[in-house]
Amino acid sequence: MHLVVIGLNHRTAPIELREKLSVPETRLPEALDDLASHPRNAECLILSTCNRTEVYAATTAKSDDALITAWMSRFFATAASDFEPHLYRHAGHKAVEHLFRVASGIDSMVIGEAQILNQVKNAYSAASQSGHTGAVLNSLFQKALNVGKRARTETEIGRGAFSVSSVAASLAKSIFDDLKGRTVLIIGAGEMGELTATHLLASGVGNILVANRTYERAVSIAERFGGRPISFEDIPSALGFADIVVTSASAAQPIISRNTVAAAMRVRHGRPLFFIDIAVPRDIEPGVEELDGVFVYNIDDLQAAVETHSAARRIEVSKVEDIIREELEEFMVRFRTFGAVPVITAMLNKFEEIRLEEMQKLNGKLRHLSAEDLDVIDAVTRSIVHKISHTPMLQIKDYMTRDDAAARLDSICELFGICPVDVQTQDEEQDTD
Amino acid sequence: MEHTAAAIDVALLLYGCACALYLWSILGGATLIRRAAPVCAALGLAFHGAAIGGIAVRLGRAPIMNLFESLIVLAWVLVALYLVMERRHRIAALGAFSTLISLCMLAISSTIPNSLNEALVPALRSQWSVVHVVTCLISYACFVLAFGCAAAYMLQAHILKTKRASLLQTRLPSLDAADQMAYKMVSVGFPMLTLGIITGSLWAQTAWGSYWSWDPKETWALITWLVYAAYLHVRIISKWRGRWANRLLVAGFVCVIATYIGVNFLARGLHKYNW
Repeated sequence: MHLVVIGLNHRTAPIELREKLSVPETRLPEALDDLASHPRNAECLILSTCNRTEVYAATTAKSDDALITAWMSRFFATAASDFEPHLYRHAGHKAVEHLFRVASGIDSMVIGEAQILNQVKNAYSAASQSGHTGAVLNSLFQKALNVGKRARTETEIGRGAFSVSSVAASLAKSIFDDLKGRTVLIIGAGEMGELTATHLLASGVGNILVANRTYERAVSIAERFGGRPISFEDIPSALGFADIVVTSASAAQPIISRNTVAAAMRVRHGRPLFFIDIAVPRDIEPGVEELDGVFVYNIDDLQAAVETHSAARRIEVSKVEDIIREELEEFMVRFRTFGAVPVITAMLNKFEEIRLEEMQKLNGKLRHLSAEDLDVIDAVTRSIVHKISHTPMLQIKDYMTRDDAAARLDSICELFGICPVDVQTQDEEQDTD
Repeated sequence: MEHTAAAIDVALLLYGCACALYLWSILGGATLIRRAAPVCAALGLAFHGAAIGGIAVRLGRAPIMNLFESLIVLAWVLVALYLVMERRHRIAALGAFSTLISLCMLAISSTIPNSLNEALVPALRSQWSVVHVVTCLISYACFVLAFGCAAAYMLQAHILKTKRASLLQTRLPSLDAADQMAYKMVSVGFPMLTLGIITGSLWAQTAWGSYWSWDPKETWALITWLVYAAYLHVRIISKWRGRWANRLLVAGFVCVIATYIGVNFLARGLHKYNW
């Protein structure tokens, strides 16, 4: 059995190419039928997400990569030379490991994201429903889904914030729990400030206030976020009811003084106030963070938090890799036995042939037998063949896990006088990236 | 007797496991750990409850008439209260805290010499006794959990202030959640304590002939009541939260310990019945 994966992802190909080579869900059955129309692609599956397009194929004969790339070129109507430099190819246990990594989310753009597991699941059910998966891909993908689930339940890979704006949102949640109904005050215009505001909005923040030195600018930003513009002079009173303040105004002097915040805190009755100061130089006067119930994070603090998170993430990735190693080892033992399938099939076919032949003879000789008698004899001969072939079958599967599997299979073939289409042991084919 | 003691031991073991699992899940354990912790605690609670039932059957009355008995019941109420709360809002730190406290209470109770068959002094035989003790114990459990919330609040605020963002910060309850939960606990605990004091004074009237006699336990109960009244005042009337609310919760917790245990060892008074 040969297993190969050929594809491209966000690391190897630019977005324009990934877009061109993606298979929309509605076209998936058509793509699979087209891909499988070549007789040698016995089992195949297409995994297509916005960050990757991969073709998994399991064949009895040594697979021909050119067939898959030719299909890609035809199906996506793109010259092979355009995408071939961006393709990676993994075979055998490397292909299994690759799929396990994909399913656990450590091959994703955003490490540990949850969507990919569903996308793998959908790709698998699309392929299996249209009858393009067999023993190999079925057990491979069921295992991969299992590995993906294990990675998410047994490690922290699916948790944690990994960018400045998501860290800010996560900190806000550590203060306010539910961000629903909270008010954010955005002071100043700037990409980072707006990005943070977007993240907070996505986390469920209810009201948005926008203050800017030029009121017109505040109005236009407020319109974009569905918020309310306020004048710069109203900031001190707004601090009384806003919960999160994002500042990114460029100013030589701090905009918000310690006294202003102290006054606001008296109105707030100890309700916490969270400042996210993205401006350099800072908009919040140093000393504000000393006030009780006030939390001030500037860009450096947020950056440091991101670092902490990514260190934690590295640990989680290595835990996931441990799981993958463990599952890979277990799976490969089973995978090797798939190589025995052609031999076993040939052996069983031969036995069945002999049995049918002998039944025919019997039929000619003993004409007096009734249909019922013949049925009984048929069942008995079947059972004899079944019992005789049982032990060799198990033994052949076991041979596949030995080092000298090829030689052993050869002797089996000699012994029974069979010659399956392609008796080769699972070879470790080279990878290309 | 062996059966109840064995059940208590099993409960001790399970609470220990639950506490370790809660701690593990705070420090970054996987989902499996997070799910196992409450299961472990609930199993412990079942064994614990069976032990209490066994003791009650043996005594032929509610097992809440001395320190040994009430510690066991209080430990049970505490874990039960946390598990009920967890259904609404999961705070693993509080799970670790309540199972640990229960564990300690069970361990302490096992060091108290107890014969489990002594007859009650006449003063303890009253219809008010069960209501009085049960309401007091529920209020104590509430206050212990409220203290746990305050501790979690202060720890979280400290982490956020010192900017040591980590997994711990995402696993501790948010300031808001801790504050809300503490408030809920006190709003259950305070009426319970009020009821406990009222039924206690009715009981005192029948047992000692006086509603209130400034016995040390009564005095401390009153102080405790005043502290939580102050907390509720601060929280509801002047809508303050944060630093002052937390300080009152800590003070209240100290008063609860003084009322519940301290008085028995440090002072002599009417409440001295094996307590």
